[in-house]
Amino acid sequence: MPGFLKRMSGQHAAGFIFILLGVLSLAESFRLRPLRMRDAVGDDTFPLILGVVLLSLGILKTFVVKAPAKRVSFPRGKVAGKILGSMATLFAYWACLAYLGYVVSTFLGSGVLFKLFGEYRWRTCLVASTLLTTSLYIIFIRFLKMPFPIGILGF
Amino acid sequence: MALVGALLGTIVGVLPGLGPTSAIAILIPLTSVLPPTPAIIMMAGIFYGAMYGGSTTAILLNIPGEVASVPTCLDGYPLAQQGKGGPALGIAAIGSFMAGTLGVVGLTFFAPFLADQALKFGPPEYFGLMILAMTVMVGLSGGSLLKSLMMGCTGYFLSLAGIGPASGFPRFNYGTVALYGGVELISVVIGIFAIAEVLIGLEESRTAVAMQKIGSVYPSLKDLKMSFRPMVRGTGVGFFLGLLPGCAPAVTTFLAYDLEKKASLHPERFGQGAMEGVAAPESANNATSQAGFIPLMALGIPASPPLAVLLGGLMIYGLQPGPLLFKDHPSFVWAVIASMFIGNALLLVLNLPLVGLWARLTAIPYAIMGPVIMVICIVGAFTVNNNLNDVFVCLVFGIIGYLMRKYEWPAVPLILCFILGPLLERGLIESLAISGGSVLIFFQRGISLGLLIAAGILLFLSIKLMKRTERRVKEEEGSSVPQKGEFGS
Repeated sequence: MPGFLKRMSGQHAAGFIFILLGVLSLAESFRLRPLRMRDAVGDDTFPLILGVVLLSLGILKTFVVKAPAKRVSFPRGKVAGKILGSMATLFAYWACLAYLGYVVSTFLGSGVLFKLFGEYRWRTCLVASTLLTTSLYIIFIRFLKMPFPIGILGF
Repeated sequence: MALVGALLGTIVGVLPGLGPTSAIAILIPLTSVLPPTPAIIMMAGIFYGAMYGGSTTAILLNIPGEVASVPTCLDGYPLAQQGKGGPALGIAAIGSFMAGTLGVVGLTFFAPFLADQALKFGPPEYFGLMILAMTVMVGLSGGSLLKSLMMGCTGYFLSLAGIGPASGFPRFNYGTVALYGGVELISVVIGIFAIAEVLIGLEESRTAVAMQKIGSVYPSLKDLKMSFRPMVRGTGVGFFLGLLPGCAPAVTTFLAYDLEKKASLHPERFGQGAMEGVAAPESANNATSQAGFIPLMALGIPASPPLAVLLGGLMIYGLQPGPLLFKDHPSFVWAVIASMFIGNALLLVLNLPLVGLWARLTAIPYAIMGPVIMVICIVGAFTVNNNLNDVFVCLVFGIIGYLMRKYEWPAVPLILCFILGPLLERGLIESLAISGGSVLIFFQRGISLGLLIAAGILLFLSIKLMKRTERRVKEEEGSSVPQKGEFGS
């Protein structure tokens, strides 16, 4: 890994992100300038102001302000696995909603989450996910008539 | 009808992603079988029931039911973690009742006069008001003004995506159709608050939301005494600002929270479980809801999206809100006003007994509550626009919210500026369009100048208060790093 990346702290990373946001805002402002309908102001005005401010704050954070002494620690091992597993499950749940439909996706997604959080037996997880899915179905689909995805299975 | 409306509104308002606008829109068909007056009474009940309902999950689970409930999370959730979820809910209910009642009094006696005053607010005045609201960012910075400013700017940046207000051309969408409508605020809020909170709970291996034994489920006399003045102040802020069309409860609740923090002798308690931090924004929330009826009834101008839907409901029944409504249909107007008072009382009667039941939710094992909260978040994010892209946004901001918590970056400035961004930009663009590009317009109009001066004074006071709080915390704890709340508030 390059030396400067090893030395980069969270603060520097955050500063670079804000510099990037500032550049994006300025770029969009320049793109919108020709589309201005009035002479004084347009949709580019606010992005221009914001871009300058973001760039300035990002530079300040990266190169001027001293990084805090306190280092941030992230979980490891089993806990890290649970956190990553939960987020992966949620993204998979989101991806499946359009194809498997709301009922099946919720049943599967919540079952996996109960397993990750509580380390219950699969039978217990499936009972809990059935209860949760049924409750949400009754509230949102039966009572509130919200149009949830039905997917390729048709329900 | 008021009872039924308040009950239904509360139930729907509890569900994240479904705010008062959605609640009224979903439940309007239920009112179609009723004659006009009972139907409108029921719709009004749904409106303020939904406004109250959002606070329940905000306090107990850190999931704001709507954006206006975000300030309630800041102290309500820490209170729930301390086993005081019941008293917090009770104070929210009592504060809502008090604010609603005073709001009805204002509506009864001052509706036409106050509506005329609200008309004096033009784009420069709105711009000044948004600048004033921005000063709240300083008070909620949690000790790092730079981080607060950076997060505020990020909030503005996110609010820019979508269709430009001046030209109607899309911006910041980078060719993505999903971003034509912008980034959905409630998805961001649910992700940053609720999903991130569950991930932190998983990291800390929590056994339940309430990490201390649940004490009394009702507020004590001490809680009530402590909350009385914040309720009055919150009501004042919410009511007078709620008269302004476009000034949403999301803005007034933040202002009320910040005002309370400034008025407190111990501002360092805010963010750690201060009862005043629940009383003020909840009162402001309900007061704004009530005040919104004044421009609606007197001038036919809906002050917020839920009231716009309500206006549609009124027109379905052939009632045209405006100056003539009081003259042509006085019995209808007074029936609605009377129902508001009854509805507020019923909300209190309905919700206070349930407070104990809701509070017990915090004792449910986290291994069960965590997955339930996550699934409800996904469902809530989807129901905002029936759009899966909003769910994706929610999940991405869940990760971002987790990282923000780890690195102690405050979330509230991001949310606040996301709300204020479009209003600020519109005020700026319209004002400069009126003046032909001259910024002097903001200083030539009395109300606008007054608001900008007030913003300057508040900014100075906020910075001073922040320094004083830092000094006090350092003295008390003898550490070199200031104590921060969960979200740097």
